[in-house]
Parts: sequence; structure tokens; C-alpha cells
Amino acid sequence: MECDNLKYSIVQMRITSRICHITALSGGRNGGAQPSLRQESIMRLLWGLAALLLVSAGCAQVDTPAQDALRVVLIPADGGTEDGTKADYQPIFQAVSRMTGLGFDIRVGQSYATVVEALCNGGADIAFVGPVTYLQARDRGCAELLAVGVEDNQSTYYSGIFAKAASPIRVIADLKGKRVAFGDVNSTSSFVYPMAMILDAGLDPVRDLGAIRMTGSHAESLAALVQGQADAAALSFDSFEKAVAEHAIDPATVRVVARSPSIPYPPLIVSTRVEAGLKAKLREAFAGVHKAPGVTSDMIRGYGGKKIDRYDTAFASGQFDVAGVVMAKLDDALKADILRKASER
Amino acid sequence: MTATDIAALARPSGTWHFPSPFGWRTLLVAIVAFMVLFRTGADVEIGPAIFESGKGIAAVAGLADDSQVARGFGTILVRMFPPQLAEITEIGRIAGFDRDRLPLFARVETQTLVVQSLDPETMRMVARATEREVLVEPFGYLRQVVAKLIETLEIATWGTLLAVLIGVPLAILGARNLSPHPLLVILSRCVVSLLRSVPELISALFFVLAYGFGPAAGVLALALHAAGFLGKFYAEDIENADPGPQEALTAVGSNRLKVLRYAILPQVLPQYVAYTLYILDRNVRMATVIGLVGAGGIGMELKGRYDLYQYAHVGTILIAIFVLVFAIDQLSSWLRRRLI
Repeated sequence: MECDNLKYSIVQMRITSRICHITALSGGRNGGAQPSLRQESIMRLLWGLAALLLVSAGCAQVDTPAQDALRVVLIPADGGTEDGTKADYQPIFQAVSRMTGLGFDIRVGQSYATVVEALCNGGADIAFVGPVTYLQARDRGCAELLAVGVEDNQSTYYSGIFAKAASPIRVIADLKGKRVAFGDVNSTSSFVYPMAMILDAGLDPVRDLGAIRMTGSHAESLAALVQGQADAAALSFDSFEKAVAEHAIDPATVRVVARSPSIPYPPLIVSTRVEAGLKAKLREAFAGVHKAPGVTSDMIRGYGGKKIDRYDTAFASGQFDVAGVVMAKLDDALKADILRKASER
Repeated sequence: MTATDIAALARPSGTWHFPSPFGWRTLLVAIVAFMVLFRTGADVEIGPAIFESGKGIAAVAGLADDSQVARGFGTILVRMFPPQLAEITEIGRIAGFDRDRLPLFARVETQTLVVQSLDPETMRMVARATEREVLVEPFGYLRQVVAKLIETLEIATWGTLLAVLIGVPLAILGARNLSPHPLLVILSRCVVSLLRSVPELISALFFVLAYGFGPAAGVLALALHAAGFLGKFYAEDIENADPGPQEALTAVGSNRLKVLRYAILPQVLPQYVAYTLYILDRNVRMATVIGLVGAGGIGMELKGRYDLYQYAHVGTILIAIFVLVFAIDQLSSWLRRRLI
């Protein structure tokens, strides 16, 4: 196959050089466009390069992952880079690989919705996602829990609504008529929980908030607050701590208006298509990965790259139902109204 | 000079008149254009934007003391410099770390880190000092960025190559003077418009679904959009080519393929090279963005660093992208000079 390719390319090159010869000799009336000898050699070089590219693509050893490699998609849950997210999880997956003999093909994705689709149409086997993403995939019958990180015997985190310390906003009710920044519409802690808190406080986000800004990420919501583009911003505590650590914000200038109830930790989930024996093997490995040889406590990471103690594989799926109840407060019609309001000026 | 011109010159100078540079019709067009601009300008909020920009410039020059625009740019731009060159990795996270065999130029440092966390009970910040040992590679981050840029360039090159391979047949079918059938012209134009109408970032979203996260989705997204551009421009050049040589060749019984080869290609090749180089340039720039949806390239690193509040890293990436785009510009102008 590859050699046919090569032959074809060489024939191509010969034809082209012949054309160039003929046209160079034939003269004609198209003056400036007439190829010179130098042009001819450059054209030959270009064709050669194109041929070389095609041949190298055909002949290249495609480094396909091992036959039984499981396709893993990681979502940098509250902002993060491809390499950073990989660095957070690769040591764990490498250890699991040593323990089980399974191969993993790890990719880093960007959108929650795409991961749900990938799990459901067979494009991914394992994913690290937000709690809401897990529930969306679970409700479609595509995914079940694999493992949840544990820190200080807890698997929870928090999000909050933040305002400037100097602003008059002290409780959620004060948000009436104010501009509030949220992250991604599928994000648990920068959209779903904060919106539910606003609903619980008796405000209608569409009618009562002055403006809704969908910034796309925790970081951009906080930036909108700092720059005065929003009066309040909804983001996770972890993201806020990251901003403080990077000196992007002085914590003294900001006030926590409200804290969310504890949110179940973003989980590792596995596609329902994965065979039961394999799932059991994976669960066993993740449960013991923190004690595996060659694994230091620094290598066990969870949401946002934070150090955690271990992975819990016996975590009851029902514990995510609290998030489901919160999620249900925001039906699709309300979300559509919110997005419409966000696009208004 | 025609007879009328001569007659005009023979007239006494007092009766000469110049055509007026504009009349009532020009005035009407200007008024309508002004009204449309006024209305659409209000729609896109250009007025306040210009006003804020002016205030921003005044603030930078020290003439005004506060401007939202200056503050917005200022806080981030200031923190982009100096750009980040070093890579710092916690040693505890490196599997099989060997203290005696460090990478080239690397050193081990102990850092004291004050971690501030928000106590969920009291909702106040708690500071806690920790010590950690890190591996510092002085040019480690630069190396990572260069590696990512090479991937970006590879995506752009393949996107361009595939675009040419798809665009050429579409152009041949879509050029009226060369296409085997008028219906094929319409069909090809339709396909070309469709390809061009979907921006890369949007098609990449769909390709990511079909091909998974990674550069393959990016290559296809770039290729299809660019094929829409090349299919149109290649075809238009074929139609504009001098018909003389084509007629000559047809007269001696050449078929369409020979006409294309010997009469059209020599004329259009320089423009084709120019379009293709423009597409390569555009693809390089677009390949830096499609990472936003997980389709490979440096975009995801850029957005990720932004979301991690690491603006010095963002600075490094932006400078690196500029250097790459400039280098490609120089290369393509050299190539054009040699060819045209």
C-alpha cells in the first residue's frame, strides 16, 4: 500500500516536471505567468515535499495504543491545561496499569457535553468529569461510578458566590438587580449550585438579576468581578484559592456572600459498555492505588490537581443524588431563559 | 481623440464645464450610509467602545486618572512580563526520580509555600506554610511551548495539504470553462460555500465528537474550511485564465485535462501558490485556537494557563505564536519572490 503511494507520487513528480518543460519551451502570450527554469525547480521541490508528506503519512508507524487499551478522557474540571491535567492523573493510571496489566490511552478534553456524548456513543471508556456531567451520563444509562477521591475522609467540595468586600451585597437577596457572573452552563460549581442557591433564596434568576454573564470558566467569572464587569461571581472555593495562590486576587478585597451545600467530589466514571470483569478489576486497582509500590502520596491527585488521600470505589452512586436534586431545580426551559438573558445587553 | 472631443476643444473656454465631482445622488447615498452606520453603530455599541478606548489612552498617557479599559488590560498585561521560561515540578510527583541524574541544566530547590485556603465553616482565609522540594528546569516551559507549537504547525500543514487535495477537484468541477456539466458547477459551488460557511471552531466541535479529543479533529476542521476557500478561489482563477491558449489547444483536439495542464495551470500556478500560502498562514493562526474545544494545538494550553491565573505562561505562549506567524510570513514571502 505504502509503496503504491510512493510510486504514484514519483509518477506525479515526473508528469509535473514534464508539464513545466513543455510550458517553458512553448513560450506563449501569458508573459509573467510563464514558468522559468527556477520556477520549475521550485514546483518540483513543492511536489516532492507534498509527495514526501503523503508517503511519510502512509508509511508512518501509527502508534496505536495496545489492543485492549481503555480510552480515558480527562476534563480539566475548573480550568487547567492539557499537560497539567495529564500530569495530575498519569501517575495514578500508570500505577493502575502496572497493577492490572491494562493499557490506557489518555486524552484531555474541554467540553463536558462532548464527554457525555463520547461515553454514550462508545468514544470513551473512562472519564474524569464534574458531578453534574456524571449525572447527565448516568441518566442516559451510559456511565457508572468508578472511583471518587477522598480528602480528610470527605469527598466533597464547595462553591460560593463572591462579591467585593466594599460592595453592599451581604446576602443572596441583595443580588436583586445586580450583575452576576457564572461559568459554563454544565459546570456544577460555577453554574448549577449557585443558580440553585439563588432560586432557594426566593429570587428568579431571569427576572430578578440585573444581568447574567456566562463567562465560560471560574477564572473568567472572578476576573469579571475584579474588573468591575460584574457585581458578584459564582465559582468554586478551590478556584478562588488558586487565584489567591497565583496572586491574581487579594482575599482581603473579596467577601463570600454565600456558600453552597457540600457538593459531591468530581468522580472518575466508567462506560456501561465496559465488561463487568474489567470494571471489577479497575475498581480493585483504584481502591489500592495509594498503597501501590512506587506511588508517593504526592502522586494521588484529584479535582483541580489537588492532593488527596486515596480513591474510594465503594462510594454509593446515591450520594450523588443530592446533586441530582439540585440539578433538577434547573430544568431545560429555565436554562434556555438564562442563556437568553445572558446574551442580552 | 474622437471628433466630439475635438469639437469640445474648439468651443470658447467660457462654455467649458467640468463634470461636478458629486451631485445630489452622491449626497443621498452618503446620507443613507450615514444613517445605516449610525443605527448599526448603536447596535454594536461602538460609541461607548471608542469613548472608553480614548479614556484608556488618556489614562496611559497620564491625562485621566481612571479608565476601565486601561485597568482591564493593565492588570493582565503587567503580569505577563517577564514571560515564563522555567518549568517547576514537585519532586514527589515524578515517578522514579533519580537525584543523581538530573536533566540537563536542572536543579533541585526547596520552596516554602504559603497555602491559603477558604475555611468552609468560618468562610475566612486560613494560611498554612508547607515546604516542598521542586525540580527547576530553567528552560523547561519554553521547551514545552515549542513542542506544542510544532504540533500546531503540523496540524496547520496537514490541514492545508488536505485542503488543497479537496479544493482542486472541487475547483475543476466548479469552473464554468472546464467543468464537464453545468449542473456539476452548481453542485460544486454549493459544496464549496457550505464548507466555507462553517467556521473551524464550530466544525472542530463536531469532529471532536466523531474522532475524539486530539489533533485529528483539528486537522479535519481546518482542512474542510480551507477547502471551501481554495475551491472558490482556484475555480475563479481558472475562469479568469486567458482563453487564447485554451482555444488553441481545443482546436488541435486536446481534451479538457490537457487544456488544464498546458493552457491553464501555467497561468494560474503563481496565484495558486499565493492562495495556498495564505491558507497555511491562516491555518497556523486558527490551529492556535481550536485547542479551545480540545482539537489539539497550543490553544488549550493557552486557555488553561489563563484559567489557572498564570499570566506569565500566557505571555510566553503569545510571544511564541507571534514568532511562528512572523517566521511563516517571511518564509512565504521568500517563496513567492522566487516563484513569481
